[in-house]
Amino acid sequence: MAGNNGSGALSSGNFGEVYVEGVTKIYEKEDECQTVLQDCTFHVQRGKLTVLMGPSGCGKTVLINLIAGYEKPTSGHIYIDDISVVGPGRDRLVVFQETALFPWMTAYCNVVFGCQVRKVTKCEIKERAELVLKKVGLYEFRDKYPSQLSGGMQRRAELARAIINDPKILILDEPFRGLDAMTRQLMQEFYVGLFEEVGRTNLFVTHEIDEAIFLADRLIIMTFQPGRIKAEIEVDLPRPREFRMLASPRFMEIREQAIELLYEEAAKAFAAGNKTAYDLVGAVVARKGICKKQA
Amino acid sequence: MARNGQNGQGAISIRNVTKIYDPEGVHVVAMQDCSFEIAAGEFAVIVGPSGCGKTTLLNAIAGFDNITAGEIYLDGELISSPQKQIKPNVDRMVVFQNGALFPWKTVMENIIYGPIVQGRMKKSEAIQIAREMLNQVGLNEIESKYPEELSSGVQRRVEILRAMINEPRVVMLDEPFRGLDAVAKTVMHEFLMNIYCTRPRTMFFITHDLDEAIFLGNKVVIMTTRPAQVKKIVCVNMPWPREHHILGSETYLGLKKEVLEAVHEEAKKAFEAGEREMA
Repeated sequence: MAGNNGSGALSSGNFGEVYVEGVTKIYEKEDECQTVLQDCTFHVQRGKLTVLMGPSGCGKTVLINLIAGYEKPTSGHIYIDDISVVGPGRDRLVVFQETALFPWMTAYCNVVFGCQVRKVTKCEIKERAELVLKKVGLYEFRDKYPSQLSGGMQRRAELARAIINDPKILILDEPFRGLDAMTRQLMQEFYVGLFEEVGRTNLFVTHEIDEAIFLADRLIIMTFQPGRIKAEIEVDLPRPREFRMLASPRFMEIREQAIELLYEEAAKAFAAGNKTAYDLVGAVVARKGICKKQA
Repeated sequence: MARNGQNGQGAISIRNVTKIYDPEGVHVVAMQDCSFEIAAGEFAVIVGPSGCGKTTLLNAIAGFDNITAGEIYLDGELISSPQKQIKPNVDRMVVFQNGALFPWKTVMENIIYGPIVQGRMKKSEAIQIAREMLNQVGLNEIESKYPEELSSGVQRRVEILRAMINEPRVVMLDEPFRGLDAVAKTVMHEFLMNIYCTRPRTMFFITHDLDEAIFLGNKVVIMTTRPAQVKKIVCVNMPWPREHHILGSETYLGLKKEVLEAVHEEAKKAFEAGEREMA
C-alpha cells in the first residue's frame, strides 16, 4: 500500500501508534459509581486502520475521549508512541459523529481554520487546501456554506478539515452516522480509498458490523457495560477494498465470527436487565437452537 | 381464521406508473413508466437509492396519494389511476419507519383496537387472537405493558402484529427496521419470517439493507435512481423458513453480488446527480 510508507503528498508519513494499557474509567455521581471502562488494553498499529466496535452504550466514545485527551482515565495509561497522553494535542484529530463544521464559514474557511490557528504560512495553506479539497472532491464547492452541501459532502469536508493538519493519528467516531445506507456505503468506499492512498494511523469507531469489516485491518470488539476488550479480529480481506467484497465468502465468514461475539454480549446485556436487550434475547435463544421456528 | 395469502388474494399489478410532484411548478418526475407484478402471498422487497420513489409507490397502493399516469390493480380491481384513487383501508396495512403505537394504550389495547373499532370482531375474540399471536412470537409477557416500557425493536414487532390482526390482503413495511443494529435486526427477521410463514400475506417491504432484502424476500425489485423504473428483478429461490447460516451459502452470495452490483450502480448515479444539483 503506497500510503504506508508515507509517500503521499497529503501526508508527511509521520504516523503514530497508540498503546492503551489497563485503562479503567469510573464516573462518580453523588453516592453512585459507574464503571464504564474496565481494564482495557489494546494497540492501534502504525499506519493501519483499526476499527473499534461494540454495542451502543459500551463506552466506545469514552475510550475515544480518553485517547483524544479530553478526559483522564481513572487508572491505566495511554501512550502515543512513547509519550503519555495528558491532554488534547494536534497529533490526534477527531472527526465526530455529527457534523461539526462552523456554519458561518465556507467549506474552504472550515478546512483551513486549523492551519490558520497554527500560523502556517498563507502560501502553504493555499497549496495544501487546494490539494485536500481536490482530493475529497469539494474544490468546486469550496465557497459553499455547510448548509449548502449535501450530507455526504459535509462528511468529506470534515475529513478534509482533519487531514489537512496531517495528524499522526486520525480518530473517527461514527463519522457516517445519520447518512442513508446508500450514501453511507459510497462514503465508506471514498474513505477507505483515501486511507489506502495516504495511509496514516486511523482509529475508526462504529457499531455497524458491515462497515467495520469493510474498512478494517484489525477489528477490536468491546464488551457491554463495563466496556472491556472482548476480542480482536484480523481482517485479511485484500486491499484495495471494493464493494463487491461485501458478497465474498471471507467477508461473510468474518461477519459471522463477529456476530457470534456480539450475541454473547447481547445475552449478558439481557441478563443484566437492559431494556434494549429485550430485542436480543430471541436472537440468543434462537442461536442456541433452543427455540424452534414454526414453519 | 382466513388465510388471504393462501386464498390467492393480494396480487398487485403495477402498470406504467408515472408520478410527477408539483407538475405546474418544480415538476419532479419521481417515477416514470414503472411496471411490475407481485403475486398473491409473495414477499416482495423493494430496494433502490434514496428518493427513487419507493415510498411514492407505497403511498399509491395504500391510498395515501394519487399517481400521474398508469394504473395499479389489487386482485384485478383498479385501485389507483389518475382518474381513480381508492381510500386507505384495512385490506392494505402500512407499518411505518417511526413508531405509531398509541402511547396511552397497552400492547393488548393497541393490537385489538382496529378490529373492534371496525366492528369486525368482538372484544373477547380479538383478545384471544392477539394472545395467540403474541404467544407465537414469544411476547406473551408484555400484553399489559405500555409502549414506552418497551424497546424500539419490541414496539416495532407489536406494530406489525397490530397490522396483521386485521388480516389485510397486503402488508406494506417502509424500512421498519431502520436504525436497529445487526444483532437486533436478526431477531426482527426471525420474527417476521415466523409471522409470514404462519399467516401468509402479500408483503411489500421497502429497505436499503441488501442482506435483509435477500434473506426475507421471494423477489427483490431493484429500482433505478429518479425517475424510478424497475432496473432488475431478482428472484430468491431459497426455501422457507430460512436460517441465518444461509448467509454464507454459495446461492446466497451469488444473489447478493447480483443485487449489490445493480444497487451500487444506481446509488452512484443518484449520488453524482445529487452533487450536480448542489453545484
